[in-house]
Amino acid sequence: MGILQARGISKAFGGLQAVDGVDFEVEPAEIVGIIGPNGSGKTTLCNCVMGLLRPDSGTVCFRGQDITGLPPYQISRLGLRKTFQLVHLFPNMTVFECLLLGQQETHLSGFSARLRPHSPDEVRIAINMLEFLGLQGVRDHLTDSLSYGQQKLLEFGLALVASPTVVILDEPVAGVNPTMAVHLRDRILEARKRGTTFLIVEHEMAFVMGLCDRIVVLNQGRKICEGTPDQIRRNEEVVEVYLGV
Amino acid sequence: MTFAAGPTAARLRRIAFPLAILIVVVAVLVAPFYVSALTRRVLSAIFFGVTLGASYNIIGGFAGFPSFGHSVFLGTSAYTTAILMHRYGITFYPAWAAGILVSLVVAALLGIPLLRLRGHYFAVGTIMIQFGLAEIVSAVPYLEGGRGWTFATGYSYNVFYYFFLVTAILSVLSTWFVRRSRFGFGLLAINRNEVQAQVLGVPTAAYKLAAFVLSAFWIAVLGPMYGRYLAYIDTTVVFSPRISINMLLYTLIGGMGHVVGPVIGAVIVETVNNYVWARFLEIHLIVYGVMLILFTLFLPRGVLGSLHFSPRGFALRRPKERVVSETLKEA
Repeated sequence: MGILQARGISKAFGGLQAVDGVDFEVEPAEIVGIIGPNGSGKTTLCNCVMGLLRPDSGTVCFRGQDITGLPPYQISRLGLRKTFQLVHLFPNMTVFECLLLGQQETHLSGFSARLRPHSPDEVRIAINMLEFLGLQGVRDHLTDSLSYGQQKLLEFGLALVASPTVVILDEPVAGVNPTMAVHLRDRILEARKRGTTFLIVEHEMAFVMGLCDRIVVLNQGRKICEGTPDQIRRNEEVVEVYLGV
Repeated sequence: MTFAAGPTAARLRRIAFPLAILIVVVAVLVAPFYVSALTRRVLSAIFFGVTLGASYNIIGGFAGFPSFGHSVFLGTSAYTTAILMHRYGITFYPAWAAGILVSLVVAALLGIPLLRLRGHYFAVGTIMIQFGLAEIVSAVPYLEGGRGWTFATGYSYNVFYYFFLVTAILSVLSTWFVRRSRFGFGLLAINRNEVQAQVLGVPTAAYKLAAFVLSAFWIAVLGPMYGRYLAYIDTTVVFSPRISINMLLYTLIGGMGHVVGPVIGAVIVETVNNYVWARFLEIHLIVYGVMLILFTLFLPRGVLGSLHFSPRGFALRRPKERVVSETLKEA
């Protein structure tokens, strides 16, 4: 059984059916891509899974538990994390502080733990994550002084620092220079080797094709096909959607 | 101005800040016996301001919710205490405790709807609460808001001086305690990006409400003592928009979200305010206004916000240069 399952997810904004009865399943330690043209409902689908939007119908199961309608912070604590298409960081915090914040709520027990500073364990994990990302040099810099690529990388690290089971990456390489994209891809593969499962929404076809085990293609809110990158490349409907032939 | 590296410099840096604080604390402890009555008054006003600013900093500075109505918590506790004393004959200390409690309950009740708003909407909401509550308290006969209440002062000036000093120290310590806690980190995250904070597991609604109630605490503690200090309260005194604005100014001028910010802000504002007021009564509001304009233009992030801090020291600049990490240089 999949670690993350979505069944019949639908979401409409007014008259616009953004997502229409989409099913997908992600197996442990898999990298699954979601692709589709602009406005095909990729981001809306992810937001429904993460609890940022409430789906009109359908259920989301994570590790066998129904998480539909739970608030995002509870879903996050269960071990499902998400990054954003445009960077969502904290300009009032340093890189290191962000990485402390990113993990503080996961293993927290009781009220008094919230009133205490971060534990040496958390500090150690944050330092390890800095090394994992290759951001040691900017440890004490405010996040808004980083380059865009570094910010995307840090946001990826923020999601990963709490050792989540599944991470949803929403366009991780959009607007990122090619060198950084290669670095990020390498970090995703390394994290997968350590057991993290990824669901990646992406526009950049080359990036997705070379990285994912399986790809789900959306068009106008519907799933039009699903398969390995090779199968997707040969699928006529996908070619039609993308090339307009 | 960064400190040079080296063991001596490191040791100096570690003790410099605590030492400076110790000297200031000792100085203000003995001050009432050596300084003029005016200076003692100004110092009291500064301590009062520090307490207000430090409390305000938790919601306005850390969590980023700019309240324009925090004096209602001063008013609520002062009024509750006065009513309990005058109408029910309860002595000051239990009435004071009850006043604090009522103030915190009011904060929780106001916080639940208000904290659903953000930015300007939140600010406007708090202004409405400020004026609305003052009107209600004035209008309800039982509360006698319009006529006001008297307090028996009963203490010498030095008692107030030391009381305000102690609350100032405790309130700043409590914000320091919050700032380094996981809760404080959560508030900083909420400040800049509530959605991302949620995705990282921060229970934002609970944290915001806790911050709001906590930010009312020291203000509520001050209320009844402020009443005794003045010997008389009415809605224009304790439900005063001016006090609400002052709290904002202390944190804004000192540096929003910095633990020591309200201290610096209160020192600057109250010193200028009181000395200018004492000497140039006719133009003191003009001087005050000009000062605010200058701060907004040249130090919009406040005194501390314009300094850059890192664990290795501090400098009068913000790093803007982009640093390429080692791994990326290799790639």
